[in-house]
Amino acid sequence: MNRSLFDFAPSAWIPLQDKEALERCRNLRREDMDITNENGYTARVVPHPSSCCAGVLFNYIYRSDVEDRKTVIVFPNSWRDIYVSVAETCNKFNISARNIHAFCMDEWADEDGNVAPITYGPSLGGHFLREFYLSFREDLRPPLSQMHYYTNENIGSYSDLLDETGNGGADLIISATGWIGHTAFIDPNTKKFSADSLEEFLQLKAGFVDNHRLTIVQNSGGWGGGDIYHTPRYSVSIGPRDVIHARDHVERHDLGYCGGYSSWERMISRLQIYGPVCKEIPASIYQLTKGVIYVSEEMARPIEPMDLVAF
Amino acid sequence: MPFVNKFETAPAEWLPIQDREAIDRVALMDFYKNQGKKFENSDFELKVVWDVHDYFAMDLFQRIRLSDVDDKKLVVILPSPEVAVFITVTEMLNKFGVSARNLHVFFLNEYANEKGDVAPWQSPYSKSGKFMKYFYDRLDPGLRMPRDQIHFFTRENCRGYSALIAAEGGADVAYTSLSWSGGIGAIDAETYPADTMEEFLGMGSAYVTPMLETIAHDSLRGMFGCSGDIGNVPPCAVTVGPKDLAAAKERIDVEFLAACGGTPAQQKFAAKMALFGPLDPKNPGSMLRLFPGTCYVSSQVALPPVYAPDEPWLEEKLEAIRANEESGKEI
Repeated sequence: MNRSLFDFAPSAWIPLQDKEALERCRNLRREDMDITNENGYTARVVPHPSSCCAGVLFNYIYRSDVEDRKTVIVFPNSWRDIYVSVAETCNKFNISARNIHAFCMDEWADEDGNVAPITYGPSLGGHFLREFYLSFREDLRPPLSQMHYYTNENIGSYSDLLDETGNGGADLIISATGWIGHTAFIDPNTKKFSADSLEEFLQLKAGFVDNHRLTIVQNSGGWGGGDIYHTPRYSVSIGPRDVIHARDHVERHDLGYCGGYSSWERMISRLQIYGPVCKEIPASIYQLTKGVIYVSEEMARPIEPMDLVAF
Repeated sequence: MPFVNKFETAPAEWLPIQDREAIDRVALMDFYKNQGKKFENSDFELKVVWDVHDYFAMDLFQRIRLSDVDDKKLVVILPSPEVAVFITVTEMLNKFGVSARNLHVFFLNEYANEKGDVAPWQSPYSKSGKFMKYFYDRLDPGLRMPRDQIHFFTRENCRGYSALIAAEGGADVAYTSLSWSGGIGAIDAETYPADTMEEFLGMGSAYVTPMLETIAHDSLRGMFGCSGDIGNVPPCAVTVGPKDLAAAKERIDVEFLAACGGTPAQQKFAAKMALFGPLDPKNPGSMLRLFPGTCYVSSQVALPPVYAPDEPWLEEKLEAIRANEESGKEI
């Protein structure tokens, strides 16, 4: 958009204030989006990122079965459609998930630091257990002891448990991004994930998070349809260290509104993938890792004014 | 008595209303059941309708026609960008040869920057610019109002904008809409802090820094590419004040912003707070209930909210699996 008549700084609360970086990412075109960097970090624009992620997860489970290899995976939630389809496909082809060790990526918490129990309706761990674990046929399920979800007791040692189980880190982290640029609930401008440098930031472990205000807005979309008042203010989450320690990463950027144009994800997707690697955009640290981000064609459409569309 | 779930969390500390009982009650209110004139002012009405745009467009069209037929001044406060309605109304005015010569337009608000500069209407960042492009420019030249009857916000007039409206006799009608923050445009709980409703209703136009929730809401608008691009939304605004809305002879509030068949709908909770929440300056939309007017809520926004119920069976199920695993039995 032409700023010759009127220019402005981003709102003061926006973590990344670099106008040049914002403008560059805003103006990226589809043909510039398929990339692989020197770390093996790849962005692929595809029509249907969800099925790509399902395929990657399915393949990890299959390999863990046929190679009888312990495989540690960090799971975001709720990814119901993907998890149910993967489990049901494993059921159909008799693929055992016995070697899968799962770690839920994050969970809701209250203002006193209590982790939401899995029986809490919106519980992310509860979603995972219902939609992934219980979707497997009983003889193909991993032992329950290999399913790790957050509790009041384990939050202080969650990253260490993950490293210990995965011999230094997860084999795979599955992820998405957030409006403020988070991965998991690693939000910028929070007490939990404050750091003086990127190097320090990358060492931060799992813990109790005072979520960014925009994360509350984003999450409220699934809470009574925009109810910012009942959306939990706090969470627990893996830390940047867990992302860096993981050996492989797969992510999807396809969160549109009902297949329509409007999506809060379109701009932050570009910033995460093509913007600066910085703690102000926590998810940008994936650029330092090996992995693939599947971006939908919808998400890759231009960011430009559409006056005739209300939302 | 828990709201929906046994595990409860307090509202974020920055949210203006902290009364948990009120918040819980509001969340479960039903738009349909509370339609009609059931509010503090007996001439304020809630209507759930299929398509809010129809009502907004016909209301504005008819008022302009009456101003033409009766040759009478019509002063309106308009939100923007309401491009679809602007285009529909101009189609009607042109088709039926209705003159807008008596129309005086004031804007609900306009973007500004951190230095106090107001977006000029020629800028793509201007809300009033959308009015010019999709209303004024589309009108047959012979039906247009004189340009000096379109009152743009400027750096110089923003604090005196209320006086400009009053000088035209006050607004005949103010069209309003709520943002995710629960504010009426940029009139939100942070930009218009007041101890009492009386104090709040006396506050006029101002230069403000809207709440984060308002910026987020705006970043989904078509004018910014519907992409959540918060860095492309100007950080500040100039706005009419509660005083100007209170002084209008009538208010038409429109709530229609929804996606996914009504879930999510940014205006669902905001509209409930305005209609059923505390009558409080921290809940700016509630002021509408004190004056004659109509709040049109689309059927999509009015859909019941979805709150996930607890799953108490899950722990029991896992306990059974655990017990069987420990005893080495098949389930």
